[in-house]
Amino acid sequence: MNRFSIFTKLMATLFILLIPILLLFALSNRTSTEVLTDEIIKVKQYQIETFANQLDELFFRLDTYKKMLYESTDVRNLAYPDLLDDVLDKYRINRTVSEEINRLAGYGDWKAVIAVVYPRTNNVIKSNSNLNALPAKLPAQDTFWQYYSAPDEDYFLNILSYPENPEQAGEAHMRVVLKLGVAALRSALSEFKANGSGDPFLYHPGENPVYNYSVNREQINELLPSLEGIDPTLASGHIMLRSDKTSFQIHYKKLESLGWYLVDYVPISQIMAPISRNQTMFYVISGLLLFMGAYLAFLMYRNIQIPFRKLIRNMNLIEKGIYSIRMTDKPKGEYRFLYERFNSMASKIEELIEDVYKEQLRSKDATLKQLQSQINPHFLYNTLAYIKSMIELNENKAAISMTMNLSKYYRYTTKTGSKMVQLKEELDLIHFYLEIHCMLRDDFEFQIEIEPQMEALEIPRLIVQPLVENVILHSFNNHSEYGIITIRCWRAGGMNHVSVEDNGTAIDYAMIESIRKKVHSSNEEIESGLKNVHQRLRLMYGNESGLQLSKSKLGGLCAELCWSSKEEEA
Amino acid sequence: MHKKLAVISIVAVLGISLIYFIYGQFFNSDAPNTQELGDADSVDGQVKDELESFVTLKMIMPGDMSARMGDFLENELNDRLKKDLNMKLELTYIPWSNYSQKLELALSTGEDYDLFWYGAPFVSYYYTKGYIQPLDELLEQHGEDLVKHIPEGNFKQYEIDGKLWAIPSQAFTSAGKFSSVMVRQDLLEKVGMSEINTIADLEQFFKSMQAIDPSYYGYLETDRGHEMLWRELTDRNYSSLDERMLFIVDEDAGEMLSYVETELYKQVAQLRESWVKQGIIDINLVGNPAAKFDQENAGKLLFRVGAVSRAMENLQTARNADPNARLREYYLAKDKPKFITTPGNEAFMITAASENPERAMMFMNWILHSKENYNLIIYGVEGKDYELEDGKIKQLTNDQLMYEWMWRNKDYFTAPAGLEDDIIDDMLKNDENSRISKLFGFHFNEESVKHEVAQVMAVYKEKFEPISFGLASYEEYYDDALAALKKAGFDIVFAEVQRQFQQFQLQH
Repeated sequence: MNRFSIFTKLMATLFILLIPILLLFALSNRTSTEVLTDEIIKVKQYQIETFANQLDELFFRLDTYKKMLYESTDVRNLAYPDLLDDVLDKYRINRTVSEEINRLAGYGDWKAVIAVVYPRTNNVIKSNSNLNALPAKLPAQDTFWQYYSAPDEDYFLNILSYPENPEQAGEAHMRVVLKLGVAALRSALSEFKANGSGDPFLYHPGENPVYNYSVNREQINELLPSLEGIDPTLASGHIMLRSDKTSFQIHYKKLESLGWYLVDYVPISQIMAPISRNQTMFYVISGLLLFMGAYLAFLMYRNIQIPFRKLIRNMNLIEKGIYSIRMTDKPKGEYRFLYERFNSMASKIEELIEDVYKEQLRSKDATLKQLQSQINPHFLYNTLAYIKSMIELNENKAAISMTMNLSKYYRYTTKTGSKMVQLKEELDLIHFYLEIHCMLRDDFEFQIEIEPQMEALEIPRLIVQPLVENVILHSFNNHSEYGIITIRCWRAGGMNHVSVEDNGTAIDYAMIESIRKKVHSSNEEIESGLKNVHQRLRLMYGNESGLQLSKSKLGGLCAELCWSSKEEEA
Repeated sequence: MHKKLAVISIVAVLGISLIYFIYGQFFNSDAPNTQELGDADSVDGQVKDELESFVTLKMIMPGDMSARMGDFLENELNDRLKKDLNMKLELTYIPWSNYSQKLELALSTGEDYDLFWYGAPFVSYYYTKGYIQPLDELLEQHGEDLVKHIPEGNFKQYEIDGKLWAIPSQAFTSAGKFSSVMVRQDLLEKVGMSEINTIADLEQFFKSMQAIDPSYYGYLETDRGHEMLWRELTDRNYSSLDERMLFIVDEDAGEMLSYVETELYKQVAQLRESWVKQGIIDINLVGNPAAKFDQENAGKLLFRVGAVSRAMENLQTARNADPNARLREYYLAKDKPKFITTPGNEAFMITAASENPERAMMFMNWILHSKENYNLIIYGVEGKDYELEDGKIKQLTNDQLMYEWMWRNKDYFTAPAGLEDDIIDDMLKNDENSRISKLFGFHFNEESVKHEVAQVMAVYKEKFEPISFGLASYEEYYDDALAALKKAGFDIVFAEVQRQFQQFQLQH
């Protein structure tokens, strides 16, 4: 459960932060989209209604022209040329009507063909002299902006005859004809398109739509089927339509004059494109943010949590006593430093623990040796034999002295409770020990000198005794002369010194050197009392301390213990 | 190391995408323009600098926009113009019937049109009004191909006060324009005649045709057609100052005359009167200017005034009505010299209010830059609007694009399919036996007598037109009409035009 704690926590926080933001964003986005869509519907509806009204107005204006011509006396008179006897009159009326028609056709931007047709005299007066200005054959019935297809151009036709609604074209005396080609409407649609958006066109069920010039025909063909569903009773409205990828608003308005629908569509999804682009951008950025957050969390997990966990595991191992453990795969940065500190700490601990352990071993060793020497049967036999012979010789004093010494010696040596003793006590032990040997052998003398301030100095037990024992065992054994042992304790230069000198077997430097080698050797195999002493001093007081061997001024060996006195002073 | 790289690149991607999202629209809007400019291979480096902004060039055209023109303009033409000139052409059509008034309205109100067409006589008028701007510098900078394909002399007629005011867009044969007669050659041959040499031939043609089929009309053109008759009616050589038929010049004497006061006018009026009586001029249709087009369109018109290339221009129309129709132009008294008054009657002018005069000049230059451009704007897309048939143009629709006559050029001329070689020959050899008119380069500045001119024209229309058309008897109405004309200030106008003409002659 804790494995990914930081990681999962970070991720959870990120999600908790992001999710409300995303929800709020989606909500506000939807609201603004709705408002915008409504607004677009209103604007578009207004636009096409305005435009449809303009178109209607135009058609009605053209219709007004038609009525003006229809009511005009001159126009009527031309229907009956025989009644006009004067040639000049006829010319003038012809000219007036022609000018009137041209004037009317010239108003406004739209180029409708305005014509007066006199079927009986075969006379046509019209505003446009192009080849196909009027259809070759006019419909017999009057029409009101009826739509006709023609090979060159489709058109709307508005005809009013006099008398009204003739059954055959030839029956009318006069007909006023208005023709509006779809080109004019297409121009108007194009202009409307240029001024606004969209792609307007005119639609009537069952007829070809009238497009603007830059129409997107494919698009409109897609929309056309849905236009058939327009409710014929509605004059205007809009339909929503969804094709492949885009959604459309289709707006329509019925032209009262033509009966056609003005249709325009808004690709709503295109208009909304910037908004949805922003939306996508926001989501992408959120995604990236999440990704970066996850990456960061992963980095933290990998660079902090994992090293930290390793550190804790190794700490636990140290606690369990596996001091040899070390941090491996050191990372960069702060953790490298921490790892190094840990490693040096572990090695220090290992070292210290080892020192203490060794000291204990050696101390036990020393004690064991000393005990061994105490229960040395030879020593005890000699001592007891001495006491017996003294008693037989009635030398009670000597016997008592020996007994006392022996008893004090044993009392001291058996007092193994504490490891440290005062230097004075250790010297007392040596005193008793030497006294016993002195009585037994009676071939040497000894003296002990100690600076008074050193008497209370705490030292390891049995640290000096092996040196003295060494003298008794080795120096005086093969010695014929009278022996002298001098033990001196002094303090100099912050160091405590205890030296044991004898005048025993002459010793040369080579021998001293070989002993020193033995003593200073770290080989555990080599066992000796001197080495034991040396090691114990070093373990307790550091490397400056130890046993030094030299040639004594007395002639024998000088073994000198020295150790720092700093610890005591502190 | 590449972990760090990965992180940096992720952050970089994040940053760049943010910048793109926010500023993306600015990158996009700039991109297309520069790209399109790269394609403009027809312009040199210096011009490229001026093509940086996209321009909509507004041009006024006479007549009605054909359905195909609407499509063609929005799609093929403007695509091409965008590519070549980084511009869009917007056309406003004004119907022929009121081109003059509506054009003047647009010019006088300073509407933002750039370019428009009109006939040669209007150049000096618009210059006087200050509607147009001088073109010398523009022509020099952007009109390389115009200069190359239009003869130097043609430019001279539009020079006023030492500056050029219009581009003579048509560069073709032009001598004796409006002094020929165009007849239905097929019908002429049908009545057993082969050619027209005299007025009597025309009358005979009508008479013979009426005998076969009375539904044909003789002659319905009443506004022009005086020059055509002059060739036979007088031994002298006259040229008309303009189509208003008030003043004419005696080419031999170099003298400006009042036309209505000449004996020649009387002869023309009386001849027309006889034509009315013969039925060559139909009294029921006179006064309705559209009638001549209607009957021509219907294939019922026997002859009308020619205009050097009219036999070619109107052939398609005639064939629509009658697939066997053939047209041909004849000069009466064909040995008399023809006069070049205006080497090309067409004039393209750049308005004083134009915001893009350079682009307007570049556009005109573009038309004559190559045969490819020329054919595109006039005939449309090959295979869609026209096909080449034995090196002749066969149009696949009747819809006009840019009018061919506006830019007819001897270097790019391609005859329409179905046009007989002798007619092509007539056109190309038309300028043989021609002389430069005394009127060449003369522009009547009406500014000082404009009120009188307006009154004179009103009276002329009311009193003289019926006489000119042969409806009112010369004997009966002439004195009254002339008195009214004088009262309207005709003598003042006449004195002014004479004064200006004398001054012009002294200078040249």
